[in-house]
Amino acid sequence: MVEEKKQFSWQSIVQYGIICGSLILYISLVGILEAFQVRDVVDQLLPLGQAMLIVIALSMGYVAARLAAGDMVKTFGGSAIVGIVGGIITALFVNRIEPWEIRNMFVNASPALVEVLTFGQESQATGLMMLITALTIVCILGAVLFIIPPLPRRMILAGLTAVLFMGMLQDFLTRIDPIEAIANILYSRKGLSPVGAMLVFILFSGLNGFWATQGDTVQNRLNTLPPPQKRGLNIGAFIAGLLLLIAIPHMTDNYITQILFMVCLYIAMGLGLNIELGWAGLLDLGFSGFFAIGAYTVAVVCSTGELGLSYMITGEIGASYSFWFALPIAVVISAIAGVVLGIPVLRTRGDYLAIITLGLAEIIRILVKSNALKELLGGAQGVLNIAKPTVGEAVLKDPMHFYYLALIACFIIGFLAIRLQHARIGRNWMALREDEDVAEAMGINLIATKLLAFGIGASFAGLSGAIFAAQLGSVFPDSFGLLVSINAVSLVIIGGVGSIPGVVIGALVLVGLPELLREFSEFRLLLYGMLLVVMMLVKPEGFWPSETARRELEGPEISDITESKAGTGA
Amino acid sequence: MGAILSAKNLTKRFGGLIAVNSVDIDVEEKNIHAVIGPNGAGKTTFFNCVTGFYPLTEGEVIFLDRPLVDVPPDRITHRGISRTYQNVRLFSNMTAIENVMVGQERHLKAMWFEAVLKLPRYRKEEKISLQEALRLLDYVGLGDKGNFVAKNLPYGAQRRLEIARALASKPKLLLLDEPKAGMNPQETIELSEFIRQLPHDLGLTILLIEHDMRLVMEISDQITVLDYGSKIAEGTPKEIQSNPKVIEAYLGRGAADDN
Repeated sequence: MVEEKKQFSWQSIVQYGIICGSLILYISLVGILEAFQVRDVVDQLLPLGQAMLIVIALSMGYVAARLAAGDMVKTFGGSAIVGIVGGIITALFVNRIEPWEIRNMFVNASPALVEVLTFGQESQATGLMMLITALTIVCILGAVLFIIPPLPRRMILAGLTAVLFMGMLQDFLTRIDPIEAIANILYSRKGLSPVGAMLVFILFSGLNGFWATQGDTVQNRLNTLPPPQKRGLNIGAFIAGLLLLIAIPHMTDNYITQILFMVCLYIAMGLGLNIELGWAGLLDLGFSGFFAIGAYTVAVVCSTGELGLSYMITGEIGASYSFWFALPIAVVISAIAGVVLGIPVLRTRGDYLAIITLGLAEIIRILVKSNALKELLGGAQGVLNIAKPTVGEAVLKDPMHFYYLALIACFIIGFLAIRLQHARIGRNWMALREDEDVAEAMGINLIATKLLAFGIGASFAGLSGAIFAAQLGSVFPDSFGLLVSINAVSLVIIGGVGSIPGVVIGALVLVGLPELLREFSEFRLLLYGMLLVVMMLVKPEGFWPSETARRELEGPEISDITESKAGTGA
Repeated sequence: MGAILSAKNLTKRFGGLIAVNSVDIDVEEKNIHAVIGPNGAGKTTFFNCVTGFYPLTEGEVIFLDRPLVDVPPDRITHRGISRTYQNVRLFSNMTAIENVMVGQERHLKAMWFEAVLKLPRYRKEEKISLQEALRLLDYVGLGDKGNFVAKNLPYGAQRRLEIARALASKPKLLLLDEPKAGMNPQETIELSEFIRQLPHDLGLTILLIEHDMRLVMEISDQITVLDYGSKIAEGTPKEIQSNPKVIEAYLGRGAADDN
């Protein structure tokens, strides 16, 4: 990140202390601290709430030490002061909760919170002294982290992060059979067992250290392999990955499989949006509309109820058309809808395009919800009784079946996306994104190229929606609101705009993670929001940037543009 | 040789401002035809009118005996006109090869589903297209820079890449908008040699906007002088150099700058 190197001054150290204290007060008053306290990272030893305090103090101490630029007195003195100031602020606050009746304003300033911050001590004074001391020590540890060489530092950090996540995700991880097998060692009642925490720490810091020191050698060796062997290795990795994907539902339970099913649907949708947004540079905020069109098509064609196509034609309730007949129709109708809705926005760019697509999608959703189309699409009551797909005699009904169906859809869509990306159409989309006028001057037909992006993108979303409707068995207009569109846009951006692996990672993080954090109830959306903000600040190019985005961030290597420009006057 | 491009009574108004005022220009085939004039004389506007970016207010442009009025820019490129820009406008995050391949659009036929299925026509076309891109890069002297991202190339190389991209459509008429801008003296000498060779090598006609008088006088067959949107003179470099109107409007000041 571009950041001015700040000079060391005791004033800025005190500022950091204040920031540290404010952060602690913030998470306390919002209620995160107390809510997280019930969960243990390490059983009996480290509750998640206190772990958060440690994370804050550790990073503030680290940041303060960075200012000192090697001066030992300043390094440790500075970080200690950060801890003391932060601790005193917190302590003063805790001390004033009762006399000032702060709880009237902030409901979360409860006795339970005080108990957390005073480590459950009888006397508040002792507890607060412990708090200040603890924060100071952790801040100094942060400084220690800064001055030790990079290798042990990244190893320690990797280990700590792993422990934190393994602790937080206990509920999720113990659902996976292979982990469940060793769960007795790793986990105790709530949180990691002390032995488990040690094991996790050693394993992950060890892996990290190995990769840091040996990673390049391994990579080099892989890169210098003769082509047939390399090819074999790639195919092997692909098959291993495929087997893993197939095996996952057998190793876990329906809950996780259902989450993965949703992730797959979002991957399919994200790959569609990625064509519009990532490659052609068309920001579409109404993308859920195509997802809805796919879903409603399947709903109407496959419903056994009064809204079903079968009833409309034969007048008999109870019969319906096959899902496999509906699927291609859904894809085609979505693609047509993509093209048709693309026409009014052809001449608009950027912000205007985003607003128009947003408006169009809302119009469609409200139309479907209104009484105007109730006869056809069921209004707010939606379309019910969608027949499940069948394969031969078997009926697809378990989450596992639908997971496989969505997985196959993802592979087909991914294959299409990769082929398109490297073809002439992919280059033209990219040219369009880079400079629309010049692209046109190169002979690219803007209308056809844009409509193709809209059409193909929409058909991917339609396929995804079709599977969604089949699994759910019913569709309602409110399942396709703005939030779905925003999710789709976010996952493309978080993963890395224009990058196919990025879409996969983005979907895993944005769709999977909130589900895994479900036990943190209302705070999971807060965490989700925090992740978006932090991600955009720290890694704006996304988790897995596309080739182009990487180039964009690198900036000009040869910077004689300014030099040459200066010479223009000659 | 007949005129490959002729503009008749070409006029472009922006509101009350007359950017190009009733200009007639005939560009002879395989000539290097320069359009010169002081800043704001309407040269680039003239280019934008010819390439279809601005609709004409009045008049018409005839290219290869067919009118170009109301033809969209991409179709004009398909007819055989190609251009570069005053401020280099490459697809800056794409590689040099990709830039040139996009420039070949006019000659690419394979549809997207052929790419998905990797049908023979697509595979053949991509192969030829890549070879052609490499050949063109070599031709403009960027043979070793194919995989460079456009924006990471030095300025002179970006200019040459832009010309390669323009040549990729195999145009009959090439419009160069101040190709010399930002080049050092050595690059300028190479450039003038390069431009002079183009009509011989590729049989194309060049319409050129340029401020550098020495370069213009050296390589042009015909020169048209614009001032305040109107044509004030036309002729060979010799005729222009001695035209009192031109000296008054342009060369007087230009010559003073040069010294």
